[in-house]
Amino acid sequence: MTPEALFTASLDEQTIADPAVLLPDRLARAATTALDVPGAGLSYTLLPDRRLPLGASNTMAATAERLQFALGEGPCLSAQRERGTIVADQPMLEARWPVYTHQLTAQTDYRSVIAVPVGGPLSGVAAIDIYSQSARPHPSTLEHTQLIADLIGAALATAITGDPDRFLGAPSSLTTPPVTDRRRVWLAVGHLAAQTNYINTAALARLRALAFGLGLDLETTADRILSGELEPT
Amino acid sequence: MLTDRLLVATLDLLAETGWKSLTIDRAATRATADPIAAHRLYGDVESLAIDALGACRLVQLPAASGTLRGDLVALLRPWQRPPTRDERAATALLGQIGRRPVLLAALHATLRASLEQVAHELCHRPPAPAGMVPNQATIVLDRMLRLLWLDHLTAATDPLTRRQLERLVDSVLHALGLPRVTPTPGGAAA
Repeated sequence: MTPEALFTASLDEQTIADPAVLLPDRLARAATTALDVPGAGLSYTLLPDRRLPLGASNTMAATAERLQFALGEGPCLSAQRERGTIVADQPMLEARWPVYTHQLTAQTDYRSVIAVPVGGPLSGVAAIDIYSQSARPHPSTLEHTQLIADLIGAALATAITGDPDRFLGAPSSLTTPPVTDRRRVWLAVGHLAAQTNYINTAALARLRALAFGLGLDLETTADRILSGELEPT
Repeated sequence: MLTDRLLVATLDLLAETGWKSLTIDRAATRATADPIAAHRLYGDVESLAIDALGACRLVQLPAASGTLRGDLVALLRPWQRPPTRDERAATALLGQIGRRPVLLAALHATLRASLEQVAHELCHRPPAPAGMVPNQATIVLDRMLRLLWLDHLTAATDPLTRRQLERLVDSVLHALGLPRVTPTPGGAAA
C-alpha cells in the first residue's frame, strides 16, 4: 500500500474502532502507520510562541512535545517560529538543542525529529512532529512526510468548519484535552504576570523555574497556582 | 447609578487582583456603595461577575478600510498595546471557568455573539474576499477569530510587534484561502 492509502485506511479503521478518539489523535496515529514511525504529534500556534498541543499518537509523543514546551526549546518550536520544515537528526539535535536532547533521550526512545507545517489553509498555524528511534529519519519517511502533512492539513481544515462547538465556541478538533491543559498553563502565566507585573515571557520563565524548583511538570505547577495552593512571589 | 459603579469596581478588582479577592463587599467598598444594597442587587459574586462581563468591551468592529486585510489589521491592532482592564478582567474569569460553569456560559455568550457579528460584517463588506463565497469565508473567519480571542484572553498576550501582527493577519487570510503578504524567513512571500 502507498503511504496515502495506509494513512486513509488507518484513519478509517480508528474511526470505526473507537469514534470517541479525537480527530487530532487519530490523525497522529494514522501518520505513524503511514510513515512507519513510532510517534507523531500535532500542535498549533496562532499567537506568537503560544504553542498548543492538539494531539499525539501515544503518551511518549505527548511527552516529547511537553518537554519542548517545558524547556522552551526544540526543533518543533523552531520550525513553527521559522514557518518551515526542520529535519533534526541526532547530531543536529545535540548541537542546536542540547538540553532538550538530553531530556528527550532520557525520557523517550526518540532520537530524531521531523517538524513540518501541515498543508493547506492551516499551514501557517498547525504543524506535525514525526519522531524516529533511529539517529536519522529513514529516507522513505523524509520522502513521504509532506504528503502526510498535506492530508492532515486537509482533514483539519474540513473539521474546523464542520465541528460542533465546544470550548467558548471554538471547534472541538482544535480544543482537545491537551489544548485545554496547556491553556491552563497559559492562564497561570497570565495570573503570574498580573500578580508580578511581569510580561508573559518573563512570567513563563518564572513558572518554568518554579516547576523546576519543585520537581513538578508545568501543568501541575499551573494548577497549583490557579487553585491558590502555590503562592508565587 | 449604583449598578454601574459596582460593575466598574468589579472589573477593576478582577483586573488588578484576580478572582480570589473579588467579593461583593470589596466591590461595594471600591464603588463607595452601601454593601447591603450591593448584596440586595447581587445574591452571589458569580452574578456580579457575569454582569460585569456583560459591560466589557472585548471586541470592537473596525471601520471599513477597503480591504479584508486592512480590516483585520485594524481589528487586531489593539493587541499591539498592553491588555486593557476589560481584557485582564476576562482573563481572570477565564481562570475560573473549570470550577464555575456559569462563568463559562457567560464568557461563551459574550464572545460568541460579538465575534460572529464581526466575522459576518467583515466578510460581507465590499469587495468580498476573492475566491470564497462570503458565507463560507464567514464560517472560517468566525472560527479563527474565536480561537484567536480564546488564546488572547487565556493569558492576555504581550503586545504584538507590527511584524507579529502582520504574520497573524497573514495566517488568518491564508486560512481563508487568500494570499499572504508578509515575507517568510526564507525570503519569498508564502
